[in-house]
Amino acid sequence: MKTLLITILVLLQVLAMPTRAHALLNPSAVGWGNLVVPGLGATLRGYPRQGLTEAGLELGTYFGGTYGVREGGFTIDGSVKVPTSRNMLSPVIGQSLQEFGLKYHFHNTFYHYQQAAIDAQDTESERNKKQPLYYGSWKDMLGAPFQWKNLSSIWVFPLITASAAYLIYEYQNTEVKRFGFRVSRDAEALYGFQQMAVIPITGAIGEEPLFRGFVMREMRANTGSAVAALAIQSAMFTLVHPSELRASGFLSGIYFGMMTNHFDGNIEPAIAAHFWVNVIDGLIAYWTLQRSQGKETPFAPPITANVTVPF
Amino acid sequence: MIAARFFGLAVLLACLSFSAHADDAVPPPEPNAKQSSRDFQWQIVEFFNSERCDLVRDAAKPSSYSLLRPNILAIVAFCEPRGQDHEKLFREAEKRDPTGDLIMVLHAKYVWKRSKEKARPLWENVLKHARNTYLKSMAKRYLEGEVEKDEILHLSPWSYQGKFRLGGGYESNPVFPYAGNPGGGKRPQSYGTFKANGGVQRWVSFGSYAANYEGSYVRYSKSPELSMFGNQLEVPITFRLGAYEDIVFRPFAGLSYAGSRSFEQKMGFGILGVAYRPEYKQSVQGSIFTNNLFFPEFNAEEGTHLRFDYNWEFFPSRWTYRFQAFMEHLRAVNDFDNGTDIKHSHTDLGGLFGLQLMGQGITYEFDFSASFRLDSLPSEYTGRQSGVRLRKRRNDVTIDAKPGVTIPLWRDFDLNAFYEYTRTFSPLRQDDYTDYNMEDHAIELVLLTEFSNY
Repeated sequence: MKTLLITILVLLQVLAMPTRAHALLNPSAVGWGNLVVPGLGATLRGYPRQGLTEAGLELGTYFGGTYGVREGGFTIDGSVKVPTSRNMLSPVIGQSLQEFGLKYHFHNTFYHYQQAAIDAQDTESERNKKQPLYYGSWKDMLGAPFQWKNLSSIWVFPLITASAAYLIYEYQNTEVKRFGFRVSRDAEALYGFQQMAVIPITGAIGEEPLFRGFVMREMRANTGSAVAALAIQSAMFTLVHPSELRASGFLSGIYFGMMTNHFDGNIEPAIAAHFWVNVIDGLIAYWTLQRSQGKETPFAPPITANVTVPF
Repeated sequence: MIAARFFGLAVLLACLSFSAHADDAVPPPEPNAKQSSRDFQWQIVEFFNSERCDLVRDAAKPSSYSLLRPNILAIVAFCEPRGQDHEKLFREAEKRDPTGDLIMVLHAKYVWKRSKEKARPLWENVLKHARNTYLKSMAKRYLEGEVEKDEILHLSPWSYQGKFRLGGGYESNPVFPYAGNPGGGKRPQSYGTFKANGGVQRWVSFGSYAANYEGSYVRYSKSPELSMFGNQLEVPITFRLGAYEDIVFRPFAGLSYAGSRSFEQKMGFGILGVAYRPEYKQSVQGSIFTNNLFFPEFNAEEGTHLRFDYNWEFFPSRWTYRFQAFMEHLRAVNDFDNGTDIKHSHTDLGGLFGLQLMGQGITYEFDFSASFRLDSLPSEYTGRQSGVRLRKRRNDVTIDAKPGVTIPLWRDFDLNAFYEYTRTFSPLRQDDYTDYNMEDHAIELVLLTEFSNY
């Protein structure tokens, strides 16, 4: 029924859509098309092999991640459910693969949108976009969390410090339930790597370009309102988060969006903040796993009996 | 369902977003000249439809050619205005709309009247790039040498077309879709089949919108309970994004019956991107749909499907060959809602290689496909013969080979004959919950015809 309603809504929008053939590719169509069909952006831009490679990697890693695991609903961090048992290795690998596939797809969506927008720069609507286009490459995005100019910004370091203080305080004062079993060292190490490296990197260079670099820019152009664009991209960002993370997802979506507006479309400060907040969050998750097995960690909270993996 | 919601929301925002880019379009010519008016240009089409090229020549003045829409300019060029370089006019129209169906067809017909050999690359271009399937068929007929005298083209912003197939054949192991090997052995038998495709399409400035229906019926002689009546309706809306790129929104729904009982219902939508290039055509499609299976023995296979298709078609001379690759993931609802021991969520990967050779009047075809199905989780069950508890993951490989030949009979009637071999290899055998190792041979003879308002 939901699919039917969505289809009807889409049809109504489509029928109301005035457009004509374009001399240059419509960047908006490239971006949205790629978002729903992996490889479409590269195909439309005339790079079929690149499109196939991207689609193969994105779909292969995302759906490969469902192999051998329990599958739940789709979220921004994949669909794999991690069981409350010692068999964590393959679910964590599955979740990491999905994380990579999904965020690589987000990144590519922005990339093809960005390139099409650069090609179409001489068209009137591209010139009149209210949010400037972010021109950086994947290397710039990867380096952003380690750039002093980003870290020293008043928008970034207070957020990281406040997030760290809050997360550590919450960790220290929340009882951790002890597992009734031992997680293998390999699974524990992989979990730590996933939480402190895979999620922060892929999250920052996948989600920020998509939501703040693409969706917010498009919505700003369509609605003409910075507030509406901020709200729409944040709502979309929230919707794809698991239900327990939706409140923080919405607030962070708003904050990162405001930050991007403040820096005239430059998403690098938001990438830096997003990355370090995720690293701290990952560290806490890793400590929680260790603590749940009776190990000592900094800021060690009290332990009680019984069990769930803190995902 | 969050996947569907996200997919839908993304598409919705996309639709809203495209509209904001309408201004990116190439600015149209100044509309104030009388000769550029919509009525005037439609008048040209009316003259052309009435086979009055003389009136077209009189009506369109050379000074106003730059104001004409590319299609109309091609009509004027086709009507050979005096003192004008017709090829130059076609080139101008093609420059402004390089993949316009009508421009390509009119140009090919114009050259064909003078030299069939010189028209060949132009017809091949129509075969490669035309969006209208009837015009593609027309190009094929001209290329195959079936056309003696140039056919008249009737133009309309509406086009409708239909295809009918009536045939009969013999199959060695007919089974329901989703079924494994039937208990009690194979029942080879003959069958009759009828298939109808019909569509109506409205061509508009941004592309087109259409409604297409496909109905099929197959009836087996010894097992009437396997007879299947399938219906599918799609409402594609095509947007021309660039000179060589289209994007198509394809909502679709289908309902099929086995005998007098409902068998399957599906509903969803796809987004298709097509890029036309000089050497090939590439299309990429993503679709999401849900299906319901009404037979209790199959309904564990229902759920939400996410499917991605990648296709290439190459057109070197008389050859056409194509590659397809797909990936489909099924999230079977019963795996999660009922916690059953037999799992059905799976991911399929597959590819197809197709070859078509146009000889003198005869078309030879060969398709080969292979697909791999891997269940997400192993299933646990008690062996049907051994009675012991088993744990296996279904991972099937299916291959399909289909050679065929199509022979033109008379006007738009063709005769098609093909043989199809399908073989599935599966680790699930007789002792397991279903035996999916299957082999099927089918041979069929079909009478085909098509019509259109062109």
